[in-house]
Amino acid sequence: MGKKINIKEIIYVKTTKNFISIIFLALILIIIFVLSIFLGPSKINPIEIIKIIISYIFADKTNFILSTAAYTIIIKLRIPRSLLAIITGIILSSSGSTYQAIFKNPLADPYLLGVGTGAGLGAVIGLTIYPSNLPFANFGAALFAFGGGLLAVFLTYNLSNYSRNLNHLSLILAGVAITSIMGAFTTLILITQNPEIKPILSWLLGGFSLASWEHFNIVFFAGFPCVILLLVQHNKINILNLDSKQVKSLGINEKRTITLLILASTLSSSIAVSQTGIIGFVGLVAPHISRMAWGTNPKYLIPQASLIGAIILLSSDIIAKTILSPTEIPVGLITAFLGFPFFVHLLRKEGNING
Amino acid sequence: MFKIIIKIFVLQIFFLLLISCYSDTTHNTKNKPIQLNPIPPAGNIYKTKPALTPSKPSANKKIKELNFIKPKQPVLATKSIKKKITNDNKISPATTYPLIITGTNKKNITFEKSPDKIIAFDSAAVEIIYALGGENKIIGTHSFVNYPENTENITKVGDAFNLNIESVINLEPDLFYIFFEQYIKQLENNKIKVLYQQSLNDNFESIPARILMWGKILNKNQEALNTANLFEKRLNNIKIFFKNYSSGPTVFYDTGSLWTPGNNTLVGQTLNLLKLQNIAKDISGYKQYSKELIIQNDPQIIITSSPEYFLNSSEFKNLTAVKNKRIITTNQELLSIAGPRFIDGIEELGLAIYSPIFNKILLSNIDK
Repeated sequence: MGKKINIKEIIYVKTTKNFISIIFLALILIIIFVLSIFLGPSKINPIEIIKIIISYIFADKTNFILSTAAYTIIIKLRIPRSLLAIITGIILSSSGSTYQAIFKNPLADPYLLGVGTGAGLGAVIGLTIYPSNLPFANFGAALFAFGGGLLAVFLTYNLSNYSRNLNHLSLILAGVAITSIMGAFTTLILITQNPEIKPILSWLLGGFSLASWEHFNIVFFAGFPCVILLLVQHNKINILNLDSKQVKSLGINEKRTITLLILASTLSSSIAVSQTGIIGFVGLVAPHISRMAWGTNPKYLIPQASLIGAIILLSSDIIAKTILSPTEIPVGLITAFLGFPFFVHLLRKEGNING
Repeated sequence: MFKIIIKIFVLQIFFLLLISCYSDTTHNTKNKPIQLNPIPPAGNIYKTKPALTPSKPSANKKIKELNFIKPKQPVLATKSIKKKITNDNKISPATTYPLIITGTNKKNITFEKSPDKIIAFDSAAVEIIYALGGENKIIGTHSFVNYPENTENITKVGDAFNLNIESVINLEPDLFYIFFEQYIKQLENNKIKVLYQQSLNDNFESIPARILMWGKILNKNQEALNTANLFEKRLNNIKIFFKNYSSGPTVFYDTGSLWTPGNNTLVGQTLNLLKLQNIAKDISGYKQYSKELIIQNDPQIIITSSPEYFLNSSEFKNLTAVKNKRIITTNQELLSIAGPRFIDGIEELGLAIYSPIFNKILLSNIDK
């Protein structure tokens, strides 16, 4: 072992490796995005799709003869739907990796912490007070969802602290408890609001079947700034992995940072839930794949995990919209199928560490 | 270890993608229905006898007056028919006891006398019993029953799919009627007489038979015969009316969030009866229909409880139904309960779609 180790070289190699991985993931995402535009329940000639996209980009200066139906399907349905799947995947995975860092818990994700169900409850309350056929209903639902998601995270965190010894299990148990109580309230509202039950119920299952530009705009403008914030704050997320005494010694206000990060990730994931329904496992699985493959540095972890999450969700949505055509299946079903083996693997690994 | 898992995961995704590609090719949307009789706009086209030869589609004709037609006068028609029938049929046999009724589970239920305390755990059964004038015999039902109005006061023993067995036993019913199998054993163990008849999911023509069955049970055969005959007569009138037509406009029936019924549902059968071509006829039961296929199949009429959704969404702007303002709101509850009111639902839908001519047919029934 007489060989000298050049630290600069190691850092350089690691950085390039991470950069290459990000470019690689982005390329895969772009390929699947293109695929998602060409695949769908209605059969449209690929050449026509290309023509439609060209004429859309050049704002109708081309003289292609296009069918209105195909144009509407591509521009107003498939593109916003795929973009919504991508942004939702990014939001869920980036907030998932943030939660995992803040709570120092590999099992934390928006779904298991109760944010999903809390946001769902909030949105159901919002839609009950302000029915979905009125204008701006989506926006109102999103606001209520944020309130519900925030309440859920607050309750989960405090409930797990209540058990005095904060470990992985107590947080997850608290998350399960909060999820079930929020779910119970949602069911109660759905039962008492008898005639409105069907639209809300199908929305709760999660999916992009009703996606339009309006949904994408809400998620993008409310959720994307939060993702940017999480990306910028990667240094602080990294430091939060340390002991709280060490964090203090580095001159960081731990409480304020944690509050800010929780607010950002809860806001973005609640908005996503309010527009797409509850989609589980993506926020849990994506950061883990990224960590297994490329390490735990939050500077690269968050973008890598986001891209992986977007890839998973977008490919799941392609399956959801085509596999049982002409009917749609909830995308949450597909992500659960894909995520389950990972969850089992994580549980086994966790068991080894604790035991 | 993790590398293997990642490989498996990637393989899984590609495998599922492959499957989805293949399922895509099997679906065929090329066979667009040939339109023989275009939608009757504003009452002019059907003034003469409807032509059987395929006429040129007049989809581009602008229709302004037809937004949200409200049905008129089917009530008038029913009243007159009722009087006619009571004069026609004078057979009123009283039920002979012991009466044996066979349930869907092939179990024979024997009645020594007409039951006085009935728990009807089914919306359709409650409506039938009310229509036959046996409402004072109902002592319990489920909480989704909301018609007729005074059903609110009946004790509720559960919601449509969850039953509180304790409260059933507490009410001591002579007969418990249920439309699904789940709780039968538990109830029978507690010595409660259970009649199980599967709810009619795809066959509204059996509704008169159900009415007659309740007539026997309640010993109200005359009333049952009247109600059943009235139902059949009104149904027959519609059938006769549509004999001359081969096919009508294409429709999409939305029950909320694009959930739609297929052919093997009560609504699907109703659409067939009215010669409406359901664009979602291939699906089975109620499913969420793909938005893309609504646009591709371009229905001429949309039946929905939330018309604002279709009118305000930019992606539906170019649909024929939206352009022509043929978005119809009907009472969807009528077509979801296989009771005596079901025929009202059929007539309401027919009236809303074929407004002037259908109304004339309903009114002309009175004079016969």
